[in-house]
Amino acid sequence: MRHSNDHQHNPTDPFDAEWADELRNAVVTELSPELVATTAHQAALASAAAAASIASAAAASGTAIGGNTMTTATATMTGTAAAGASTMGAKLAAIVVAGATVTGGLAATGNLPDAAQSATADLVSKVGIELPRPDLAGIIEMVDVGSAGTVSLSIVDGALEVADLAAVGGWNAAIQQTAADELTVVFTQGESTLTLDATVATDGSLVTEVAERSTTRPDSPQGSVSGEVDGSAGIGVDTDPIEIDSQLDVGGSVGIGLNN
Amino acid sequence: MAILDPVLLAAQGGDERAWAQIVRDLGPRVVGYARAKGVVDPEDLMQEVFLAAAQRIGRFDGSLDDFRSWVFSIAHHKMVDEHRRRARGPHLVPVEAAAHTAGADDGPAESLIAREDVRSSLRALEELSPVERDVVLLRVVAELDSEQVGSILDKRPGTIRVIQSRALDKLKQVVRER
Repeated sequence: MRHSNDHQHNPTDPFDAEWADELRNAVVTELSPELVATTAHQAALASAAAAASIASAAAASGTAIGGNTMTTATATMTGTAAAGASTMGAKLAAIVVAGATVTGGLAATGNLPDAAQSATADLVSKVGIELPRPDLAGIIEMVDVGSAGTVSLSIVDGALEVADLAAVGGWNAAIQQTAADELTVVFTQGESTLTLDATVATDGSLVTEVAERSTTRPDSPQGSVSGEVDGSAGIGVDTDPIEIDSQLDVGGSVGIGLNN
Repeated sequence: MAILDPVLLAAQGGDERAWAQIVRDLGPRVVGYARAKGVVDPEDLMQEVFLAAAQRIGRFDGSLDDFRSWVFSIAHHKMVDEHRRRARGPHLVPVEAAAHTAGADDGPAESLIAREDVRSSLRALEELSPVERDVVLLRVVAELDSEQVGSILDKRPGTIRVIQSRALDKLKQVVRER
């Protein structure tokens, strides 16, 4: 790249006259180190997030990355956990990856904060790299509640809490804490309802379930997808034995189709 | 074509040191371009430009020269968008305001000299039409060639050369009258 202070004169270039130097020197001034650092930091985070997003999308579609081909089973294995991982991938994990890149691979040694470590481990495991996973106590899990919004859950001393709640425009959300280790977040928009049920299982892991309900068809069934966020990606599908035609977007990789 | 430059490759992966080098190299010129175009907060625009570049660098493919041209293309379009949003069309901040911005960090004497330089240079630019001004700034401040400028302004290199020739005649006239 050329610099203002190493400009070489080229007599054949009409823009290389004295007036051009004068203009260049007048408007091109050095940036403060703070401004360079801030701008570089933001750019590094954004580029790492974009890179992680591309890797995540490629993983979900089974694209080979670095010689590792993802299987459909791997890409779609986790149900609600996939929703969380997907959300984390876009909003947090990528930033964590950026941080890890910048700070010299803290994730490789398991030295990131738990939520960050978990998200990073989820992300890179899709390209065949296994990183240490944190203890689940205190983990924050972001759950994508279909198109209604996201809920970040944390377990502190065995108690389940909503750390953050974001409703997409048009949706309202309400938290119902039914017990210390159990809560429900209800998203409503007109006659549509999406619920997230979260429970701390006896082994201390977080179990979440997203369900969709519609009041327009009182006889319509409800479908749900649930997953255990325990790093091993168990998934359970609870269904009523009736056909439904809805598809629940939980991270873009899990659809529900239930038959009688 | 693929990215071969190690700095760009590192930046693509989110390396902060690579971005710092890029910002140190290109940032002053992006700020200068924005300042000369009359953007109220050129440093803010520069940050927006690099953020946008970072978000899209995964899809960038080319050399360092191509990257520089691409960054200025982002800067140019951001300024066009800003002007459109304001629905006032292209405008320049009054020379006094831009000159003040340029000398803001200097001491009183240096500041005065800097402001006078900027005033003088920007006054000459005010004689040009918006497209002539863009061509001159992209050639002089960004140090892009006619083809790169043409690609940013969506014009053929030949057209750019005609515009720059006209702009140079006007500027020579202004310089002679000083």
